[in-house]
Amino acid sequence: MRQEPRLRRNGVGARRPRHEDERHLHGRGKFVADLDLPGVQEVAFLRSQVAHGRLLAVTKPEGIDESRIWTAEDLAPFALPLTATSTLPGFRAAPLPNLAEGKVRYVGEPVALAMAGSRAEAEDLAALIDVDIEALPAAVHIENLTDPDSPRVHDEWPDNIFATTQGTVGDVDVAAAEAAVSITREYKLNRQAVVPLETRAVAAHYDRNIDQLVVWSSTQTPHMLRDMLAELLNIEGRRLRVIAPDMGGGFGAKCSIYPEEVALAAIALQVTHPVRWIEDRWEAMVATTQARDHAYRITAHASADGRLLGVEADIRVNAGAYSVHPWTATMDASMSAAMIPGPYLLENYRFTTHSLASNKAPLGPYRGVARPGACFAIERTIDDLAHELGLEPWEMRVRNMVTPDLMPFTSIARKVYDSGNYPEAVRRATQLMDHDEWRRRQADRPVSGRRRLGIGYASFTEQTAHGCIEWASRGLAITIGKEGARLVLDSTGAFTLYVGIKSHGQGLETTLGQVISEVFDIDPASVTVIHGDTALTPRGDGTFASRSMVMAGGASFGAASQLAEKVLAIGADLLKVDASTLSFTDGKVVGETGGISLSQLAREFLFTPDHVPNVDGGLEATYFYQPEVQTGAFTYATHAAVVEVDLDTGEVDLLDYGVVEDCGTVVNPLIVDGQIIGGVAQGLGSALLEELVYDDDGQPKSTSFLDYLLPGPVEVPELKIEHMETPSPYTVFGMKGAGEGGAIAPPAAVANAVTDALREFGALINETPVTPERVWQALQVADRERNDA
Amino acid sequence: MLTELGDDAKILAGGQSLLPIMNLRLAEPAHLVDISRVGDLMGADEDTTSVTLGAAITHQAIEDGLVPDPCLGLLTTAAAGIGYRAIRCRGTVGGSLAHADSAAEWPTVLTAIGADVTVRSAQDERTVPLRGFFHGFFTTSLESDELITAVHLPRFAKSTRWALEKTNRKEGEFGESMAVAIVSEGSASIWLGAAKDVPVNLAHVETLLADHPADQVPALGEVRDRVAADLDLSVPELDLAQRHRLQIHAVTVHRALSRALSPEVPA
Repeated sequence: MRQEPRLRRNGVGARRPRHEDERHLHGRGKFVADLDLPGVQEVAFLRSQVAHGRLLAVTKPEGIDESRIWTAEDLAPFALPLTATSTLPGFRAAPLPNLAEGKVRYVGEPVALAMAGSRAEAEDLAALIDVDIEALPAAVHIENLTDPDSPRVHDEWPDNIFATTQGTVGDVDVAAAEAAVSITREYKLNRQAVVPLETRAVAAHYDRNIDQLVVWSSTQTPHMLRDMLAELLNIEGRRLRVIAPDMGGGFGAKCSIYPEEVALAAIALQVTHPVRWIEDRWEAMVATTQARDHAYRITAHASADGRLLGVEADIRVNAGAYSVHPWTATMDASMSAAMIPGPYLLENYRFTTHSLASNKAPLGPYRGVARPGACFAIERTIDDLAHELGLEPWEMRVRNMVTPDLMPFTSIARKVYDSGNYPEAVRRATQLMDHDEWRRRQADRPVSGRRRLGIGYASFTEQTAHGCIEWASRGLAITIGKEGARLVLDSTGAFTLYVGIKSHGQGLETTLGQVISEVFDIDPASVTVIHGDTALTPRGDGTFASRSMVMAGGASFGAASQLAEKVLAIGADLLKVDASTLSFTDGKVVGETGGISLSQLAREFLFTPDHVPNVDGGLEATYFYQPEVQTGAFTYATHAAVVEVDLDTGEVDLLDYGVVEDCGTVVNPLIVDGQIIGGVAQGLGSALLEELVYDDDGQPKSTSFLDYLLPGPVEVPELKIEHMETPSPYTVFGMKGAGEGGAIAPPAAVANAVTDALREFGALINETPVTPERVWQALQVADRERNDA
Repeated sequence: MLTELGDDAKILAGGQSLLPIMNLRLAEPAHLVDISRVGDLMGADEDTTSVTLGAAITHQAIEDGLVPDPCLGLLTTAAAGIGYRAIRCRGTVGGSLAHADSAAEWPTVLTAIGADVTVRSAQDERTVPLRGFFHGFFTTSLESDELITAVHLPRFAKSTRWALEKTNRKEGEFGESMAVAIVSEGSASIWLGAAKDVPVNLAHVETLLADHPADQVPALGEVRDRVAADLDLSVPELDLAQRHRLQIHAVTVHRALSRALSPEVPA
């Protein structure tokens, strides 16, 4: 169902400011914390302060109204624990308790909860609950989780391995024998928090009048949450309504099903008042799903002329204490294994992945999902291979990339790269950055000076909007893949669009309006877009995996096209002409001899259906969409970073940063640029600043913004962005997703740039974030190795 | 009130340190005594040799030059480096000194300048030099019934040169290291913050400077050895991470010396 954009003034491709900004900039947004819920009791969770321990007793204080405190024992009859299992062979599921029972497995795990008229009083009450925990040694660091004497997170398991996967394509050993150069590298991406401006938030109220449990949650996936709550609370779905009101971001942290959501929903059915929990920032840093925590061992082989002959990858992911629904504990490892081949023509590839359990918070999705790790692993390796071969790293990339004449191309990991010109993005990036000029300046730096310049690149393909088969191949029990949209034309001639996805910062109220405008030639701002309410919207899986514009855009286009056909039929009946002679212009149906406004037409049809006897009733259409190819539409990009490194301190200054990217047909250039800028900012956080540090006992040491450094305006340079626009042959309008790409390449590009700056010393930057301490230590280690040699 | 409530009460000025700590429930004082609108604590006074600043004067007032800076711009520069503008609009100089975080600007900068504070209780008033006022992390010579009311700053001679260097990983954050160098007529006052629980006088570095040809900056290696001595560190016993922390302090001090000794007027 590929459609070329028709170049309406306000349709696909229009550079429109976001409609939703007005209410937010005027303070009219309404978040879960803003809900006016008479009689609401605010909830505070009591959380484990130890990473690993036996939970011996949870004792309520004397003389307190017992119904204000809930323990695991109180909650158990009303809510099942969530088990996120996988269809991958040998996968060990670890049920995620709603409140801890028997053991606690990470700092921040909920143990009990208390409720009161205010959060402060609820916290006072929670502090009176006596928790007896016998601390156990903790399994913490990724390097140690498979040691034979490592503490076991789950007593019933023989080790700490959720699952192991392996794959071989071609013959890496033959490639190794043919290679002119082979290198082995170890890389590590440390653990990060996901930091939306608005933390998580849940409220729940059982409306006895209509026998409906309403759950408000700051969630990216309202329909999925409803499905799971129905299952875990063992009630019929018809009695459950989930509403996601305005949200201050999610970035993946709000698309797993959480114990807090289950607990509040279950409790609301048992009490006579609403309940609400607003996560505070400490909780967000310890109990919201976290990200990265990958370790790689990569061996790569290349020919003398710079062809990449073979890659072997050992991938380890510290997935934390539990498997989260629906992604499971193998999400990162399976994604990473498939994405290491990247944009390259690779014939020989062998991988092993280990998804490991530890006494850290569960790992969940975060913008980029594993691709920042995969990109780091392959892109740092490409640079070091190029260095060994005496090639410019950008040239090594160009020589090995899938070329346009091979598109669509099925990658070695069986993903269909649908379209684009990958090497051209690299070439353009070198021009965008003025590569040769930086090389000159680099060479001009005096050897005696204490600051060095470096330039680094990172290229990647970004799988977006993948369908059922893709998720099934990665072992998910729930194979997400279709989105619904319902478009209604009311009696005033105005459109309301109902979609199953949840816009939580992506500007979909604007871009989906543009899709409707593309069909009807109306002002997109005149379309009301309803999302985030399961009682109102057709089914949809939610907003994640860079899917919403492609999936909900496709569904909206489908619904609009069906409704357009009907409107034209009505127009034909009213104007007494053939429908094929009619079209939409500026909110009217027009033909050769005359026209009728949508409002007149709707009035005629809805108030006096007898005037339009030849058209069936109803002025709305519902459409469910999935792209033709289910491994997704592949966006791609090359990023480039220029850095200055202080040899005395290891400080890295980012001097320039550029992006050349191709996300297919751009629906709204302002919004796509916004996504790139925001993504790069978060990627630079991964690259240079953000790290959740854990000590050997599993205590997180950087749980406030005093220690956990986020990039601010000063840390993010003004980006150079250049677009290529190759429509996907498999999606409506040729759209591809654009949500995550910005965050994927910065760690690799920055590490390559810093390594480039330090080539004369042989210091390799193989770990993120690239802190002054790590750079300085890499210099000391390289210095020692040179002296030893 | 402070006499009556003793340790159960905390003085609240700008609240930029105390309130976050209370939010985290790391401090749970039973009573707060809000002094942020006491007019007597917000005045500034000057004579030919010194300037007196009320303790409740905000960083922003100093940054914007709304009160006199007798230190040739050192105060305005230091104030501008504190946190973010919103923090500076509320945080106060007296509050920062009473809070006594050695990574914050005022304890190190005002100690280096040689400032005194006036401390008052219901019964008594005394003047305390800042050199000696800080006892450790968040502890000072203040009694529980005492309040800092004013800061007295000596005027720099016209020929005095100064530099303030702060090394941090992100704009607006606390320094990982902060060095103040004040050089005047052959004598130098060099202090380091964020290295120990209190600001540290770098006596060995001062000696190095005295023994060095005027206007020439000692080499980084020499500075590092002296800083290590001032911090009581034995370099061979340090691991890589500790050596890097020392290196950061040494570079920060070295940068401060370079600026203070350079021919151009400090920014």
